[in-house]
Amino acid sequence: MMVGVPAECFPGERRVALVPELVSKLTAAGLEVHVQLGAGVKAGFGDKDYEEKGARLASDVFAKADVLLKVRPPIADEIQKLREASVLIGLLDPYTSAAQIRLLGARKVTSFAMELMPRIARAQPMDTLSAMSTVAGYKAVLLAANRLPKFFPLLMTAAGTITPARVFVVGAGVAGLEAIGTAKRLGAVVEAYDTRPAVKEEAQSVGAKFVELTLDTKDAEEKGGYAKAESPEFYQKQQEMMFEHVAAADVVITAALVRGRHAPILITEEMVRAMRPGSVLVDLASAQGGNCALTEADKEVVRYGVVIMGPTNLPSTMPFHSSQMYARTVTNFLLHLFPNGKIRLDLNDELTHATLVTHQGEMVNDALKAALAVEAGVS
Amino acid sequence: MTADLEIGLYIFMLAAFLGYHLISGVPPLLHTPLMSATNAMSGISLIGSLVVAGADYGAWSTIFGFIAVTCSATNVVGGFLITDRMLKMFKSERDRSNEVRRSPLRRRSLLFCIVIAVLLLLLLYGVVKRRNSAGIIDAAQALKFFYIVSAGLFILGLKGLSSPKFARKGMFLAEFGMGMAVAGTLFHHDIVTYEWIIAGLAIGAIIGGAMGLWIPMTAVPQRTALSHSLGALAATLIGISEYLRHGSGLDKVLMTAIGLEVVIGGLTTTGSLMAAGKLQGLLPGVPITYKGQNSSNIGLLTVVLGSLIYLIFVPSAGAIFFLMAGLALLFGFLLVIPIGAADMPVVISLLNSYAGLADAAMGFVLMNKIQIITGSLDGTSGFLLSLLMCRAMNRSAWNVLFGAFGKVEQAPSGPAAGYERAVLRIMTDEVPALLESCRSVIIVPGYGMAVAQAQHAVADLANLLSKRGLDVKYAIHPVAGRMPGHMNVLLAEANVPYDRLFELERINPYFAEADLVLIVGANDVTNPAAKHDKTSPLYGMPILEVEHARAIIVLKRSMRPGFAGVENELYYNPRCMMLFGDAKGSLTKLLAVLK
Repeated sequence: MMVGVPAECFPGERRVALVPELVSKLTAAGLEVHVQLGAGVKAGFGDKDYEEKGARLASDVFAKADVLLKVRPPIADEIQKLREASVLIGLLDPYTSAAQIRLLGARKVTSFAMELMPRIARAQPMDTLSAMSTVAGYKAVLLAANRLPKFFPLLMTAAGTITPARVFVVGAGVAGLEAIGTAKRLGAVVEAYDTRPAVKEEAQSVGAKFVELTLDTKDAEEKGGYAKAESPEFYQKQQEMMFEHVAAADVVITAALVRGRHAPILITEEMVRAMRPGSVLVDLASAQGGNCALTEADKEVVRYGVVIMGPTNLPSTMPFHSSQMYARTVTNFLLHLFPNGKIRLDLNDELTHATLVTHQGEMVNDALKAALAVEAGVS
Repeated sequence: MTADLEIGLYIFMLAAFLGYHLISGVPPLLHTPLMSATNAMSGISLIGSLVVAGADYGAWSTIFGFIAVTCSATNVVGGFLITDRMLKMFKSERDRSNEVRRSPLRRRSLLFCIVIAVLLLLLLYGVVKRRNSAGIIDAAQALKFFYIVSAGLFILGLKGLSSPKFARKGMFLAEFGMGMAVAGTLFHHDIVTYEWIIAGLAIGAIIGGAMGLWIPMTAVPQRTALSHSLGALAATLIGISEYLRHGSGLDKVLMTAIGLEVVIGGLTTTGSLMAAGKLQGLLPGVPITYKGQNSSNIGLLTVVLGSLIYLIFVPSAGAIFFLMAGLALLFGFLLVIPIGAADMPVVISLLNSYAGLADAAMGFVLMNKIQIITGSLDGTSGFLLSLLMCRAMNRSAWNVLFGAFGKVEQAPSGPAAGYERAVLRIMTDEVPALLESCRSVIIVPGYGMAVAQAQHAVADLANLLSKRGLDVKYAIHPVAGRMPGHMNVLLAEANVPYDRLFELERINPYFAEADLVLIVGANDVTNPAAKHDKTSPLYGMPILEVEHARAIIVLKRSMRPGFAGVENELYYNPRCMMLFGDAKGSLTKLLAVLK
């Protein structure tokens, strides 16, 4: 069985789906690994590194691969090059790529979307989203610290006392928690908020002060631990209550996502205006619309003196480790699917069932179908 | 009321308070030996039984007395033997190495005791010889003296159980006390025939000895329950025989005492029998409930108490008496069947308490003060122990005893139901003793440490241990905490150097040579079920192999399950001890004790 690792063509993408140290893991399982020339260069892994570990270099891997490992969803041209009945594993963006899924189906590719991995204990080594969110949460704080005209920690010096920066993290999922942790490491005073009451303890366990808003959050958490979308009235009330915390913060990091949907607007223009000039807002939800009304994807905007950043691909800015983490989750999954180096699907397996998007020409994922149908019905 | 009754009530009350305080000082480590020790001491019913069996009051009295003697003797012999077996396990390394040096001292104290025993027997012999003539020593007076000394020795015995170091010596004193009381009673002036007594003692000693010596440690709870049953049976039979003997000449006080003895004794007999059956797996471990159970039980209890009150005023109503006894037996059975096997230890402790109360009642009936004292000590100890056990399980006593009513309890998943599910508990002040013989410690931090923000306390403890020459490592499971690198950020804050942190693959081989593993708020990542239980949600997740270490202490707030919502098998491992409480609080206390 041949595993192919292409170079990513998505603009700005520097990650690679397989890193040299994991090549040996795959070859040990009896797989042949072909890596496209220059695939890992942008992440810091040279062709020689792959070769040393037992991979073969090729100018094109799409046509001959039995299994293709990718970071970004494949474009139409790439899909056309794939073999029929080959396997594709990657972050396929299933909720927003209906057309591409149809193409994959037409091409009879068996595709797996890593984003759909269930959040259960034994799937943790294959949890790509958490890994990438970790990177994003960490990097967001570094970006903010770099852009903020202030110190993060408290300093008592002969030249006066430097008060610590106040960081407000909205959305305490994996990215949010990592942001809290990183901000704490740098010495800031951190406050956090999330609609899910279960998260309060977690945020406190990393050292943040949890902001209590008197909202009805009993049903804020859905199965799998993700946040549920709420009504517009709910969000409005939430904005009113968060106002003073946002206004008082030097850094606001928003990481509030609702799975498969547009991100909720939590920070209005008015709230930005109330922030002190020089403050920084890092919107980690910009890829899904953004939590701030003023966010512009992949741009740094200055409004009312406030720097608003909306990076959509933070993992790509730390490609060495994010590729390493990504590659590990993908190889763990790959070896789980095909433990003996043979393509044999166990459709009853919970992990297979949840992540399988297309198989033998059909879109087979029920959850995805339902979600897309709802979207189609709404839009 | 008579002077005797007045004194008896004072003694009962004082002994109750004393019992409470003595038991409060017993560490959870010694709770099981405590139960079998108090069970052995409840064999004090032997005193009264000996008199009834040997006084030739009548056919029924003698037969019941004989059975009571057999039962009580079983309790005494079996109970003390089992307790000694258990206490032998608590020898620390130092004691073992000192054994050689201690032997001469041992032999000397044994010799001392034998000499005293011989002297006492000679004293008794002299007394008997001069029974009918006015001697310097009067039999009855000597007996009273013996009883007083026995009472003192029992109290010292219980006091000894507050520390593993003195437990065995204390028990030895208690055994001696029992021996004195029994030996003295043999010369009681009421006893005329010795055949039934000797027969009863012999049979009882053989059965008790066999149980004590050959029963495996895992069956100790069942044996204790069975013993309670026998002890309570002894009390019940004596009560019945005394009722028959006195006929209608019973005053209110005596009738009350007999009535209580029979009722409490009766329900404890059957209740303990049920408990033993459930533990042994002979009866279903799941709670058996049925509609209207609550009300029917209360109704039954009302009838029983009503009969008792009636009898106090009309002591000659023999039919009512036997009805009351029969219903008490039924009540015991019905009281215990709705309680799950997992909660049996609490029930046994409670029944221990009841058996003690029945003994105390017997003391009032026979006006035997040593029985009142011992019964009262037994009663409070059992009661307090039950409350402590409930607290350790983080459930209220009400929930344990009556919680099954109205809802079906879920069968415990994991290891077979029907086996004892109590966990070993350890208190902070017992940890230094454990650490003395340790050379390497592995700390396993988890979400609990993060919630408690105990990272600084953990680091302080690690530093203290390092200064004492122990090797301290941290085992960081990849999914410990609630976010990737959760433990890292906290431990970094506490300045724990990177080179002390080890990931799963690197640390797992080290557990086998670790003397102590300190699990601070980690749960699922240490659950062995992930390796073999295919039905567990954790199945397939690699875990930290802590079970190979010599000793494991788990710092945890309660027995509540972790993130995965399942019980952790590790906690039932005999080498695993639970240190309940908030991680930071426990560690701070531990640091204070170690310094």
